[in-house]
Amino acid sequence: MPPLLEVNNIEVVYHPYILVLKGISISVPEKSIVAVLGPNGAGKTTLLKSISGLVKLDRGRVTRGWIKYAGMRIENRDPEDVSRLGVIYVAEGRRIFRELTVEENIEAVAYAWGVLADPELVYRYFPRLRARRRSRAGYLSGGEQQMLAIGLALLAKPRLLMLDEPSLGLAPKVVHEVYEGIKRLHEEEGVTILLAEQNARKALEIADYGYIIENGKIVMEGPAERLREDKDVQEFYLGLKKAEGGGYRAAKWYRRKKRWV
Amino acid sequence: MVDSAALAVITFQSTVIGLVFAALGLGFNIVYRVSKSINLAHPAIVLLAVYVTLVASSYLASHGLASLGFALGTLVAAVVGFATGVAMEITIARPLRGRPPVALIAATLGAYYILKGVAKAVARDMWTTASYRLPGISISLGPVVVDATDIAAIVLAGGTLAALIVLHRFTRLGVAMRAVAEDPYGASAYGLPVKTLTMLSWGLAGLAGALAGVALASKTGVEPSIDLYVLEALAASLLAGLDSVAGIVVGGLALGFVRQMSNYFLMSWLPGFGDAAAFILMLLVLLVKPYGLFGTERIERV
Repeated sequence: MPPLLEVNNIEVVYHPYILVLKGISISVPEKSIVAVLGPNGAGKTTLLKSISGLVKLDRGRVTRGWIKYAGMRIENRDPEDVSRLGVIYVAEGRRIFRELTVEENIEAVAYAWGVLADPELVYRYFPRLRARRRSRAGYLSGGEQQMLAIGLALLAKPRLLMLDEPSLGLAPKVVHEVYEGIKRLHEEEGVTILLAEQNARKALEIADYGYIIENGKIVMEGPAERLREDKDVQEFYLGLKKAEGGGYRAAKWYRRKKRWV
Repeated sequence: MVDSAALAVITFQSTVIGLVFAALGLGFNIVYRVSKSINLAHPAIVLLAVYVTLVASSYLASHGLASLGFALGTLVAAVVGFATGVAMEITIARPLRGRPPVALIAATLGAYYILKGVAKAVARDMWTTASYRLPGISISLGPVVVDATDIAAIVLAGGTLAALIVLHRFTRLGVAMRAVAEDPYGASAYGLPVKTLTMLSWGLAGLAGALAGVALASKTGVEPSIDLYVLEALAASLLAGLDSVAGIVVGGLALGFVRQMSNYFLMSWLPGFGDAAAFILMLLVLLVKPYGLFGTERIERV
């Protein structure tokens, strides 16, 4: 069976000349969790945005390669059309409607999906939000905002849910709670998940497969357990190795880092 | 001393003109919310609607439908206003999405002149001062005499305001429109029909402008320079906060009262100071509350 999402050797260019992705290929099988890891500015967000079509709103476009979702080519389509196909993107920084109450946030998104949307779904996975129904979303805690953002995406009955840095700026305990929610909805709703994270440790805990992006290219990929074991990943992304200190280590680190790029 | 009868009359007139100003300003706010830009063509939409009503009602009158002329003319103007708003969204606002707001402001200025030309073409030999043919009713409430022009203005302006405020605050469609207004980018990621809702917002702004324009022209008479009142209504919008829909009622009434009161009391030594007084009020308010009385200051969690 072909994977649900296939990204084949795409290049993405912003503002006619700025090349951000330089030939990226990933594949996301149905009902799996795939993680895209990498440092700030590596291109994780651009990758997710070019799948969802949102690059267009930033005046970017896919100039080479193709993106196939459920057998359809979707590169450079309108974000609204892509979301209609069941690909929902939860942007980083907890994109919710801050001026609206929690309830109104849910109503607004439910409006888009008509009878398909079941507002209860949000409260079922994130019961904490029920008590905050009538407060303005801007006044929720960071964790609650992230839960609301994921909850809103759920209303669209996504087949492929793309989460961009769900752990960003959250306390470890809250990160855990958010990730529990993600795991549960993956298991109970059967949603396929594509996860972009800097928090590699957390992402590799729930992912089946992972890609590491640096500088707009994939430098490493493999099943999650293998990435967890890998020496380089441990050192650069999981922070497991103890620092030996000194300039020599820094130079060596730089060389090894270079090797990937 | 001011006698109470005159005060009652002036209070009533301030309220009527205040409602009209609120309805005229509403279009600025609706457009600002979705496109973050001031629609300088809004006065021309109003102008167009005012003359469409005049032409349509006189056409109907010449076909023996004089009694329905004004009502049907208003209806035609409403449709024209809605269509103009939609057309502006498609031709100007949509291609300029994601560009700096200044580009859109400049484009709407161009649209202002185009629409003014259209209004002239529609009016032809009626491009003069005129007034709508309204039934000669008048009701006396103590010292206040309410005539058909007042009733038309109150019904049209008040109705427009009430309908659009209820739509925005209390319907699912309205909530979705508010979501799109706050964050179109996020809204499209969650699958909201951003394009349709933005277009609808522009259309509703045009519709509100058209109905408010007819309300205004029933009071002041139809004249080619009627669009200047709409610029004055921009003060009501700024006073209320450009992104507030319900606040416009307060902004409009404040503008109406300050304008009429200062016209009345300052007439003898500062004639025609009313318009300036309204803008002075606006400046004072903006100094204290830069987002206007009801404008949202972005929520920042600390």
